[in-house]
Amino acid sequence: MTEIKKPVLILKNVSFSITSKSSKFEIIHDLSFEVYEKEFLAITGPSGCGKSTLLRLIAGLLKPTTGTIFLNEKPITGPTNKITMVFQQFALLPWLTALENVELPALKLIPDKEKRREKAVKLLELVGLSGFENSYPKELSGGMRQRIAIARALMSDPEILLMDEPFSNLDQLTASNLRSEILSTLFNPSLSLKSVILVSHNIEEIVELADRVIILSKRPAQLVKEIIIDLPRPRSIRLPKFTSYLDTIYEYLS
Amino acid sequence: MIITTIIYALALSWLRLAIGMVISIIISIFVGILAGMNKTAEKIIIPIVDILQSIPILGFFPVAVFFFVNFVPLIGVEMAAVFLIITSELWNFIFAVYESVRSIPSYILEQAQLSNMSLMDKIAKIYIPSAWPRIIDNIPISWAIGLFFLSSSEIISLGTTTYQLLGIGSITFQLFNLGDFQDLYIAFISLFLALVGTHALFFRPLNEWSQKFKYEFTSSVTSTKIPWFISTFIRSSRPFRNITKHIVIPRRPISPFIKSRNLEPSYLPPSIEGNVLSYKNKIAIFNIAKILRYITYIALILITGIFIYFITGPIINSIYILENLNNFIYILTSVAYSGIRILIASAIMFPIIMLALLVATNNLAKRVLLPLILIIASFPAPLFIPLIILWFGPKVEIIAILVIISGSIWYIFYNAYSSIQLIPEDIKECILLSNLSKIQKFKKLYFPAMLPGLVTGFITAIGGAWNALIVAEWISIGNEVYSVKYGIGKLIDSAASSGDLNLMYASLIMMILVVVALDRTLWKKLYDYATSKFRYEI
Repeated sequence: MTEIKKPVLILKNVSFSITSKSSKFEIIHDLSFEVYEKEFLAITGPSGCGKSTLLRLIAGLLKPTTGTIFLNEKPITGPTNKITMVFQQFALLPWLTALENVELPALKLIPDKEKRREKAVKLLELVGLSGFENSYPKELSGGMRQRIAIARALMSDPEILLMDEPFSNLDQLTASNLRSEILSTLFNPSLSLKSVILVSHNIEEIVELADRVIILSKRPAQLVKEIIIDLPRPRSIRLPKFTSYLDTIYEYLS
Repeated sequence: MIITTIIYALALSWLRLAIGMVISIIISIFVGILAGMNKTAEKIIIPIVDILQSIPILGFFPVAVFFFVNFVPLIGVEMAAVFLIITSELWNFIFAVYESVRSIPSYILEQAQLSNMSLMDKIAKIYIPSAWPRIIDNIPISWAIGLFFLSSSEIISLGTTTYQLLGIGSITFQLFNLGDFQDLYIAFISLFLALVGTHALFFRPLNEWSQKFKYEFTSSVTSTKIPWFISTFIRSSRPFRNITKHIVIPRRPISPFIKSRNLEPSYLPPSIEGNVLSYKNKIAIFNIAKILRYITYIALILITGIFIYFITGPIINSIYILENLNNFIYILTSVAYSGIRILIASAIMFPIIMLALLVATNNLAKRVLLPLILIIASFPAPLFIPLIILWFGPKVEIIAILVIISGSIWYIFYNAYSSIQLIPEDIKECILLSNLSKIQKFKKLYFPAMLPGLVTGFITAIGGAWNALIVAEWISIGNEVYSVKYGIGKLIDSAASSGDLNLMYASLIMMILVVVALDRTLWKKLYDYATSKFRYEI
């Protein structure tokens, strides 16, 4: 998937620090990389290194202290429909049904109620939740909740999907099921999605899913290594090459 | 100099509040620990305290004055005032102690059991220290509640006699009565400064000191995101408490090695000496525990006995009065009128949620307004009456509704505010990414998120409003009486003032019945619905 080298997202010398009463913490230090079309990029690093902060910078929820992030050559200045996010804790509103949750990002975008509903139903079908439109998140399992969250993230026709440890709050079996479907779901030809950025500390997950992985140092986060994972899909952990990728990433992490 | 008199009056009121509070805390430590340790005691104490806290206490004040003045000469009125303060604060403190004891992590109790601590040591080293943070959390709001009741009770007329205590409540009314409005404002400013000073010099340091008693792992959701003085408001406005809710953390050790207390000796050091010693200790502990328990039971029975002795007469007389259909309808109509006033006040209070939303979502508003609101909220509502008359004229309906509002609006504000604060960070981010309009954000996120807090806030506010009615519907200042035509508060006050004690008892009983019935049916259902449907899953 990496033949067409056309960057969708560019990070240029991005630094981020927070200032408290007396001291200044640098969380990300001078980070530059690109994300290409049809690419599944993973970002990993020691816990607390600023991976999630990085995602929020890309999403436009936070602003870099210095440096710029470009989407399609235009700088990102705030949240946009073109970049959406899937959260570790699903972030569903408990008082809305599955369908209403999926519709949420399109309330302003698609003013026509019928059209909006139709699209949300289609997306729920895409993530395998037909028939659960009117269920509340509380009534559904963790895996199903994360599927709703994925459908919701796709609702505004994003070009980039950010995933913040999306599988870490699910049990092993559910997570591996969801993982095995996620690539075909996200890179479904009917969607406009160009790239996915996954933040994870699960190395197996990264080797299974990603085309490329970026390894960050501990705080302040700096680029340690970039590894292209060149394995045919579906990938199996039993292949010797899979394990050798695991070992390489693990080495850079520790 | 009037200013010295004002300061003296303030000091006297503060002294009454302090005495009332210390007594409340001492009683609550005994009762709360007992309820937290002993299942039988818990089953008796908690439901009683729960009912008592929902009863409009102010209605009892004339009864209390009558009792104390007749049985204790000289300081009877003082005692009645302190008694009133205690009855307004005690329930909160008991729940604070009880809930703290129940949420002591089980491993701490297991450890105490293994190290063979005596009951006295356990109380002194574990139970009381665990209760400190919640007790101290409760002090500012209890001070505000106590001040509310005290300020309206420093002048009371029973029959032809008027009893008066010098205090900030009575002096404001006197200054108003004398038409000395300049000094009236001075009194208000002094009260304001006294409140600010008390918060800054007393409540805040005390709160910081109490932090060291908190267990790391038991910090509640409210403690991290919400300033301490607000969490007090929230906790004390939790309208329904029941026993089962608190059995989250097992009290008994659940370790498979320790099945019951009887097995304890076998886990002691193997030396015979140790065993014998601890066995002796065990007997001693057992006896102290037994004696303490008996003393408490006897005290409870005595108190209940005295209580029953004093209320049977009034109840029988009330039944005679209520048997007369005209009286019955008259009293019920009065309750209905009061209820309508509360409804109107609630409708007027509703927009305060927008202020809560602003303060919760805007950092500048938070920094400027929150401390200010804290002080205003602890200002006793009854003292606004002279100001309201001064500004709006003696329009009784307006006074009644404004007093209700000023006494209860902050419960709604704080609860709505904390509900917004408790929205998980990722949901907020998700809404930001969804690019919704302000109205859509309000409809889909903020309003539903506020609902549990709103329901809790309104139920508490309405509970408080019944108390405020007794102050607000019938006001006697000097020779003037400002009174609404119908209203249960008016009925109770005017009956007390004309010495018609039987009518007063009957009205009081009717009001309590209505309040408790509303609480147990309508409000409880609403509360259960709001807190279950709008809870975030983690």
